[in-house]
Amino acid sequence: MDKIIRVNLTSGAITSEPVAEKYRQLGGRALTSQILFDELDPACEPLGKRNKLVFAPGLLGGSFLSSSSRISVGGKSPLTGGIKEANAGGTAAGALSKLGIKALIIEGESNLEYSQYLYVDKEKMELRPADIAGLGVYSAAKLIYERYGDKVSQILIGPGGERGYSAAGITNTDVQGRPCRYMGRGGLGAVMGVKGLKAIVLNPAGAEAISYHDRKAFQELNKELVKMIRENPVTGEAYPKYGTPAMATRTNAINALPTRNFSAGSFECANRIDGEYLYHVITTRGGEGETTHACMPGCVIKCSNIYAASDGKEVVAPLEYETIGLMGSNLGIGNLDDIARLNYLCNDLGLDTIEMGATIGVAMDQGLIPFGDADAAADLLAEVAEDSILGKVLGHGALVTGRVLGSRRIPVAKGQAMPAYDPRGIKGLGVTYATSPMGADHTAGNTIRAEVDHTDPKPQPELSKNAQPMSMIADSMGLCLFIMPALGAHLDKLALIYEYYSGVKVSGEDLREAAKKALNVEREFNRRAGLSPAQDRLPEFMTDEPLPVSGSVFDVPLEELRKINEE
Amino acid sequence: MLIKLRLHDILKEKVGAGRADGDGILKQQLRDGSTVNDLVVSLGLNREYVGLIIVNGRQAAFEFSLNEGDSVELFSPMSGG
Ligand code: SF4
Repeated sequence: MDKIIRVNLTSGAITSEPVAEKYRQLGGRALTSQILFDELDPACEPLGKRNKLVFAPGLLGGSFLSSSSRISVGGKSPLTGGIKEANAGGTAAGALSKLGIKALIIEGESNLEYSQYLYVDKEKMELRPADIAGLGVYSAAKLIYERYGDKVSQILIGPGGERGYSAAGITNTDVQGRPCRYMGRGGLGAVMGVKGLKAIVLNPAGAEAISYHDRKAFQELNKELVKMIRENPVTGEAYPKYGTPAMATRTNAINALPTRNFSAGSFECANRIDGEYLYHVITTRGGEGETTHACMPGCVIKCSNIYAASDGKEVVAPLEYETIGLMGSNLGIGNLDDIARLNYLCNDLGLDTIEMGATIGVAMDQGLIPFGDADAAADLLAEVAEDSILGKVLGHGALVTGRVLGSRRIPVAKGQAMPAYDPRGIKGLGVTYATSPMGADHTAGNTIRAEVDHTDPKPQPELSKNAQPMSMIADSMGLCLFIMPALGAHLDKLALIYEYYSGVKVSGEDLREAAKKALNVEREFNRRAGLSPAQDRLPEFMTDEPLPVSGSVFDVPLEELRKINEE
Repeated sequence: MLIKLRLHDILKEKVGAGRADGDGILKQQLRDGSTVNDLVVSLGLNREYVGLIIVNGRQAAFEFSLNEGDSVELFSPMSGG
């Protein structure tokens, strides 16, 4: 990965630059954040021409280590007003790596009346008029495949992003060509949309930029790592069979499953939306459904799934825990068919299911539609699709919707909706929501696996503080967080496999230090963008209103939260 | 003493096969004064397979002392969703 591609949408210029020395040992999130820090005025408007989007595979991107080709995208977020990185599995990181692209920077803003897409293959890079503009991601992706064949990888946004909705994400295609692997958080789809870019088509045919410093050693160590992944109960058994939805039984048991706009932490229908039930439904229905599925080539965990209707036809893939928590229990909906349908609608519109689940939850709480009414929820998404005034409000996410509807129970941190862990039930994650430069983000430092009482406020700051750099390590190497239960305690092995890939000698400790440095870069960006420790907190309803059953409130003291970003 | 045990997903398969009912529920006889850890050992489970323990609806630790009639739920670990 020896070049950085810069696409200026104002001028239409596309240039290739060598990778500057300071970027060589950065990848994924660390790289996108460093480039934004170096190139952006942190106070710029997120939807203005001064904001940029940076796409980057991680340091291990394109390698055959399992689960190592996640794609990161960074930009200033219209939701948090701070630096943002969102990442996903899928095929784009592998394609960029094959094309030798370490980072792809999208800057400026098109003045053309039509939107465009970027086409990249090993010989050319071109902006082309997007006749797919306005289409949902499923039909847009289909047309692109018809034109370029099924070997290309696509990065694209839906109508939500094109209209600049703050709840819009950016998706990329999975191994079978579904445009369903979302870099969902932070509203970065809107940033891409207002720039006038609908899609990026990566055609890696004939491109062979991936090389190994020591392929044989890589292969040997890889064997050992695969064995560790297979023998670990989390990565070898729970994720492959039940996937992320298995989390629902756990969060429900500790009173942390968002229910009816975060007004309860357990849901009476939890056992109809959890991993075991999903497994049961998929296996009894047969047809196109699959209980285990890889989102990227070479993943040995295969945590993903394909959800089929009772006629065996695919409804959506994957159906993940976050969507189940936010569009299921959080809406009082206890039926997987309904959740899958809402998931598909959000995907097609290019919207983050976490943000939209929280948004509809707030709308239900304010009496706009009743809890539990999946048809009414689908009608709200139809408003978004039609771009009605109500649809525009909803499309801007939970905070805007809550304000318009007069809610004082808006589950956001730094303007971004909370994922499917109530911070009163898992307080360590509450610390992460409050203090991560990313806003409310479960992937920025999840403490769920720690063997502590998750409602005891005392150990939580320390847990979150240690978890945040671990997430940064995974996000920077392009690793899926789900291999971390097996490999996270073996950073030296990860460092070594990186050395065999790149030739760069680093230690596990170096990886940790680099991660802390990258977090500091993000914090400094946010400080310059005007975010302050005053925003390192959770909404007052979560510190004031006890959850029923557990009686828990979020009571990690503010001084403790502040300390995390002081050092 | 007799306790009520509920196992979830992969633990149901590991321990439950032929013993637990479809819901993963089984009655378990334990020596008085047993802890959750003793229970885990009596099930033949490796401790790393247990990521979350709930006793009578509340999160508990391996050292928790069990009493007659307690209701215990065991979950394998997960790291995020
Ligand atoms: S574990 Fe799941 S999310 Fe991670 S790379 Fe594999 S299929 Fe994708």
